[in-house]
Amino acid sequence: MSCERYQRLLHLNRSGEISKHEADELRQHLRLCEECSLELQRIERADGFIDRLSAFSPAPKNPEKLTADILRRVRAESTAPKSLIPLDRLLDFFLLPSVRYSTVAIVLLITMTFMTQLLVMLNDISDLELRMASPLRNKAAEATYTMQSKTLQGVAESERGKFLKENVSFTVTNDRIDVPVKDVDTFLTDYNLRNLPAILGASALGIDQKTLEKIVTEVKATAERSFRLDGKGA
Amino acid sequence: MREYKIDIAGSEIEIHEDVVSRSQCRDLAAFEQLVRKYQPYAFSLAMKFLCDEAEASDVVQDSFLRVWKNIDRYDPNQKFSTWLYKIVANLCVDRFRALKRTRSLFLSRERDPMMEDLPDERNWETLRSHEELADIIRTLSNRLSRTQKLVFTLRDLQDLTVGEVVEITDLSIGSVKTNLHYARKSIRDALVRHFGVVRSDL
Repeated sequence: MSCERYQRLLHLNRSGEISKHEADELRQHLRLCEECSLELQRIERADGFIDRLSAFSPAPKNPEKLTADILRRVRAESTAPKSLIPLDRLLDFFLLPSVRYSTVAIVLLITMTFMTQLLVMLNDISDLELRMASPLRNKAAEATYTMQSKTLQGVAESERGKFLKENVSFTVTNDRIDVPVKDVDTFLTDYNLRNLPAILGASALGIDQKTLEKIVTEVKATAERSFRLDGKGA
Repeated sequence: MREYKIDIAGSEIEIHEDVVSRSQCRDLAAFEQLVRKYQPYAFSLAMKFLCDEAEASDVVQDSFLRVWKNIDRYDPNQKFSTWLYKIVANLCVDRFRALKRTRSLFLSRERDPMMEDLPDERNWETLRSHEELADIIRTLSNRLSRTQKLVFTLRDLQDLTVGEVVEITDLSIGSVKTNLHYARKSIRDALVRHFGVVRSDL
């Protein structure tokens, strides 16, 4: 072991800072090592001075005055109005600059977030209103389905077809059939087209099943929705 | 419950505990007794650390004010003097730091204390005044770090145990020993360099 370690022990060993084992080791080493023995001598010499300092207990020149000063301050502290009301403490808390500034920042942030959301919502609402008020919607009732069926035209133009023209609200011009949405919206689907015979009064017209199927197929193939705005056509 | 032997020392402890617990109940008369009993310890530590009577008196006042404010937090299982020393030591370190800053701002040309200013060896036997003590400690501890100085003051000048030093400084035992080793080595080296190894005739 190096002397450095023993010299550390020497300096630490003033009054029991080292273990008994370390003290034994140190004693043995001192018997053999001249350098460390000399260090011990130096330490003992220096400690004569340190002991003097340690033994001297400085006392205040005027201890009574010091006691009186302490008690005066303690009394002042005890009689000083103490803010115990929670509200006061809360207000004191908000007087701290860091708390004050961060509160303002948080309030601003929340306000701005709300404002942004409100603007987005208002924008959405007005957009929706615009769409609801659009001409397309207003004119939806006037929308028609335009279909073509040469067979139906043939039937309509025949003698029996006059009955058809008088009783059904479609208009048949050339090979075009225009059906108002309010009438067809409910049944102009794949399924409802099959109910066409009831609308056309097929049996009354004496249209046979084969002719009817032909009309349905043709109507289905050509059905397309269109809007007639201001009665002039879309 | 602790039991006390019926002897002078025991009854002293009992009286002391009573004084502390009455102080905790905001009894000013009891607190005055506490101040009178412990003021010398507090002053001695502050004086040995700060080496200035006015500063030490200020720190002692602040310490007892802090004791009064926080006496509810004092744990009776701890030695009262250790608790007080901890408060004094903390305030001393704060004050020391502030003083050092002020000195470096306004008195940067103040010369460091010199070993030549130490009193003769024979005068150490009759060390009487604060000024002498303050000058000697200031000279010897000039090169110590704040922690080394605090550990040295508590252990070697105020004669507290290593355990108490650990409790007061919140340092680990290893750290206390390391700081103590460097502080003692530095101060002993300075003393031996100045006074020589052989004791001169008084």
